[in-house]
Amino acid sequence: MEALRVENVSKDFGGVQAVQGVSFSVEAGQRLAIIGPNGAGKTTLFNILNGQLLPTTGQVYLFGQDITRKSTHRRAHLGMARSFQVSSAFLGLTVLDNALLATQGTRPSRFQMFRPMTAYKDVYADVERLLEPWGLWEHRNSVVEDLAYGEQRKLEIALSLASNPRFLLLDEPSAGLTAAESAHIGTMIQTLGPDTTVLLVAHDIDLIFGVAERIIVLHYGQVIADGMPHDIGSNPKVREIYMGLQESDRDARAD
Amino acid sequence: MLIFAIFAMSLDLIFGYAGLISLGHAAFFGVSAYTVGILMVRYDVDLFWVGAPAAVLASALVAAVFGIIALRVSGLYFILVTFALGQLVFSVTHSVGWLTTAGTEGVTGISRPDLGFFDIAWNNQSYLYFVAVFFAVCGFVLYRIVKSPFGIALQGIRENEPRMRALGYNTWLYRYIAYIIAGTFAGVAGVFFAYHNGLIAPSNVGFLMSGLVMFMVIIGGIATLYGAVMGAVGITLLQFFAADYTPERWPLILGGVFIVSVMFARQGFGVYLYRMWKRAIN
Repeated sequence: MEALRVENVSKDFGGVQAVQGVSFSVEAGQRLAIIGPNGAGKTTLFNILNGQLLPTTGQVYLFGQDITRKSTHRRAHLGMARSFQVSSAFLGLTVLDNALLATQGTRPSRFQMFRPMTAYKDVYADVERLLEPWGLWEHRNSVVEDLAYGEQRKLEIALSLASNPRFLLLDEPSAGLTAAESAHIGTMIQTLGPDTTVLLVAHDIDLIFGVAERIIVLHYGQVIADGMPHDIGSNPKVREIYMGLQESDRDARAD
Repeated sequence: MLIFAIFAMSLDLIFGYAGLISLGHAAFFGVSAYTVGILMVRYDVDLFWVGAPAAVLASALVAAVFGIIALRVSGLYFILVTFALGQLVFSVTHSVGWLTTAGTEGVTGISRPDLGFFDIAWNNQSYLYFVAVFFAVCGFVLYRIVKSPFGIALQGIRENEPRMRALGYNTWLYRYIAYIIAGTFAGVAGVFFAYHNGLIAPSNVGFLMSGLVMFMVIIGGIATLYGAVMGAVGITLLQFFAADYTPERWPLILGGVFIVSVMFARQGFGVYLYRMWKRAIN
């Protein structure tokens, strides 16, 4: 089954074509990574998929349903979830409240006004099941601000899993983490069941090659390569972009 | 005092918990106070069980309409729109003749309500108990709301709106509901104010009133209901004593308190005192 179909999507920012005629589809259960140098349009595409941006042209379908103009929260109810590149858990709230909020988001009790949030036993049990494998349950009463950065990243991704999404968008899940922490996140992504389709946008090559079954390379807003990880690794165009960038990076640093 | 405590708690719901700075909160207070006054003075509706619900309903309806307008924008523009809507109500009370009785501006001659079956001999003390009962009910209801999934979600929206949307929350609807609830409780405060004060004038509805109640919340402590209560009690007491000694310097005193408060007790005097008290009993 097709989880996501992107049809000829473009986004124009006052004359700057951030994304140009991108089309691809993702099979249910697939793990797809979108990579590309800075400014390639990854974040723009990500925000279009998530509903924060409206594409200038083109359509997006989630499990066969046209979601191009659906709001972000409607998409969440259709089974889409996302993580944020900049950790954006609710810093002033405890880990437990964060997880309760995330779990409650797609349930009818979210509009309840007269019972304490912790009184919803089913939600509470699900929160324990959610936080436990990330080692966050023991920190449940800590305020997020007081957590170490690595823990905050883990919480960030745990929150995006709280609604048991059918389609998970991950934005730089391992940004700023140590290799060990990044590997842990990779393992956690791999342990997700086949019911969850994953699309991740990342720079972390180890994470991508450890997790992705398929890679799409964006460059100047266009798809320039789409295939299995080892094909992408040996694709001359991709090598040129990345090698070229690395050389100029080195030059910049030498200056 | 307790009337302002109800008023301050209602503002704290949108200001503290939902993070919406509203400079027109006195509008809802005024709508209900005027409703009570007009019903009593022009239509002889003395019965509390008719006048008060009608007034609170009027506030809720106005909040429902204003909310649709104000919540179309956010941030600074929201502040400006609430200010404008507040001044709109203020100028209506000023210029519509129907809203003025007995010569001077405003509605005069409002008496304590008729309670129907409960025959209470009204004096200041019995009225205080009467308000205290409603204060306790409002405090309890608002406390339950801020601790509920709805209340926590409001705080989540204040902290990080995009995240809440991604989690499936219709953030606009949450704010809108909170705005109406806040307007409704401000309406409750307005009802008791009208009965207590005996008259209601445009100055009770305008920007100064909105600013005063915002001071109460800030000085007492944002996003803590008890802070709003303590701020309201503190400011009202201060105003009472200032009126005795130097009424003309009241704004100066209020300004001084506000500056000291934001400089030395950033989270609010109420929160500060509460912590001291907790330390003292430990």
